[in-house]
Amino acid sequence: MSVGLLTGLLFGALLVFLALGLPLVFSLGGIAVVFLFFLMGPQKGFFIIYYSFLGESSGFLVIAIPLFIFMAYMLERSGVAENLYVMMHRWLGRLRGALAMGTVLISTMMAAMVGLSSAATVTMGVVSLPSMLKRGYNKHIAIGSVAAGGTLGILIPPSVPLLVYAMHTGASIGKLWIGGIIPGLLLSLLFIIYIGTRCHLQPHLGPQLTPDERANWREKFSSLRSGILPLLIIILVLGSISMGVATPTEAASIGAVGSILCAAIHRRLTWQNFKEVNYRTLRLSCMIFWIIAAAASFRVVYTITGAAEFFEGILMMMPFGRWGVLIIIQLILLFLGCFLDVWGIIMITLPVFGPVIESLGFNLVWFGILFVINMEMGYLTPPVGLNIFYMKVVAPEGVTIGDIYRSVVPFVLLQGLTLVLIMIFPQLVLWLPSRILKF
Amino acid sequence: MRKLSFLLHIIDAISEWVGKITSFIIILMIGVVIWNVVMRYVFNSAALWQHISVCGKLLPAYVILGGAYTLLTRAHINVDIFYRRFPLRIRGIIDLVTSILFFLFCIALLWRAVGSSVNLPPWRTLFPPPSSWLFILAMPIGVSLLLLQGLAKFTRDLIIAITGKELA
Repeated sequence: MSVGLLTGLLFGALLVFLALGLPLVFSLGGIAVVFLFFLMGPQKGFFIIYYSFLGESSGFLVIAIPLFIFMAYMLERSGVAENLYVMMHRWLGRLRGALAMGTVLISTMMAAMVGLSSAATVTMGVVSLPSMLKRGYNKHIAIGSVAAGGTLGILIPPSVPLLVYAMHTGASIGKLWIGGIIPGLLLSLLFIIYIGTRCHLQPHLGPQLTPDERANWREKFSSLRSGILPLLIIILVLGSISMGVATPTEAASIGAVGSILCAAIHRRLTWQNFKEVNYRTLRLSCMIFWIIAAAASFRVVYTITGAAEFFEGILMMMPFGRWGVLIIIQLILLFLGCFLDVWGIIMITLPVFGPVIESLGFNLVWFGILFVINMEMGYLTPPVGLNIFYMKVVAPEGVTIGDIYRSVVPFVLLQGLTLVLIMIFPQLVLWLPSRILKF
Repeated sequence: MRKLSFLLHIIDAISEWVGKITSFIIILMIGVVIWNVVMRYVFNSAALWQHISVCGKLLPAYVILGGAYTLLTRAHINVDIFYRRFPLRIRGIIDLVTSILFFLFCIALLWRAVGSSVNLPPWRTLFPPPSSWLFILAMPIGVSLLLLQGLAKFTRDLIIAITGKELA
């Protein structure tokens, strides 16, 4: 059978089963089994399936994934975001649109503590969204700030998707994480500027707080206490990684213990919360690792049938040189982002895109950041956007799915702008790692 | 029918409890890594080998034993933009058809898993148990549970496809 036909069969089957609603993990795994059976026979073929599982889930770096997931879920329930919100509320009261800008600010701080986008989205959705709507904020500004702010979680270090990216491309995890700092802060700044400008020009979108709601100086300063713990966690986790003192796994374990302490101090460490955090950590970890393992078997089929090279060949034929290829790759990522979530996209596309990007002479760290920003846009784009889904769950009555779709548009455009800026000025990503990491 | 429903609920309960108990392995993993950090930075003792060999086997066990629970709680991602528009009965039929890949995947995993667990190291090395046992034993148990949960789902889909209603 020709390579083209085999590739068509492989991906045709994948698309059909995905469209029929079979979970990605079983689509990938099952197709890999069928192909390996016919290409190599049951003895060797099933050996590959089995050892993909062992190989992908053992190792030093991968342990960081469940630990970071645990940390994110624990912090989500620890009450950190609520306290930060009170602090922000007391300090920014006079500003128009303050609550929406503050929401982005807190999401940025949360992003520096956790590596998933759900923690900030869910907590801010519960804490700040009702409070903004109650004070007469425009619902598009309110929803957009929460949904878009939450996506920063996977760009600003620590970031679990970047960790998985590093594992599958061989790029340095330290460089990737540090490289995400400036783009993440830039994005956060752009969100804040956008909200501030709109609320300044159209004051009815984000009204000031009424005078009796404003805090006095004593209240302001006492609220600063709630910033101490988050700051400590950020310094511990990020500091230890960027100084090269601890590995990501060790930093994750420190963060996990920090998050437990955080919950304990806020008196949120109930048995109920503890159990729930454990259960949810297991569910997400299993979801991710089963996909990783199944995709590893699928990747073997990719390689032995020559499908990977076939795809590379097609990509290389695209017009407009290497930048044309890069743009096409990102369009594919954006398209996939509408249907799949970040774990699936990483596992399906990286085996093809990674080598292509490298052979075109692009920097893998730089591409990693572009990749994650594309994934952030995927979180916000319909029909399947994770953050849209979260907003639907937490939004009060009267907010339609159409409202949510419309509210994220300006923020998605700002993410697109950031993508362009990073493509024009690669130093936005590459400068900081080269200054901090000396190895 | 009532007996069948009872049986399916028992399978659900097994998956759920195995999963819930497994979920606490995460605390063990945090503990082992933190222990290693403390040993290294406070007591200056390199226990890295211990860390890797213990945690490296805990994680596969964690992931595999949690498989059935993940299926039960529908935590696996899928593309449902078309799927969710179909009526219940059609969805049941589609699930029956697509489950073939699920079963093939499980059987391939189980085939090897059973094969390797037969070749366990001799019992003399049981104490202290080599940590590789964790994986070798977790695999057949975890995949069998997953297969069982998958069969339960298959049965439910079959009932939906035949009667057009969900089993109570």
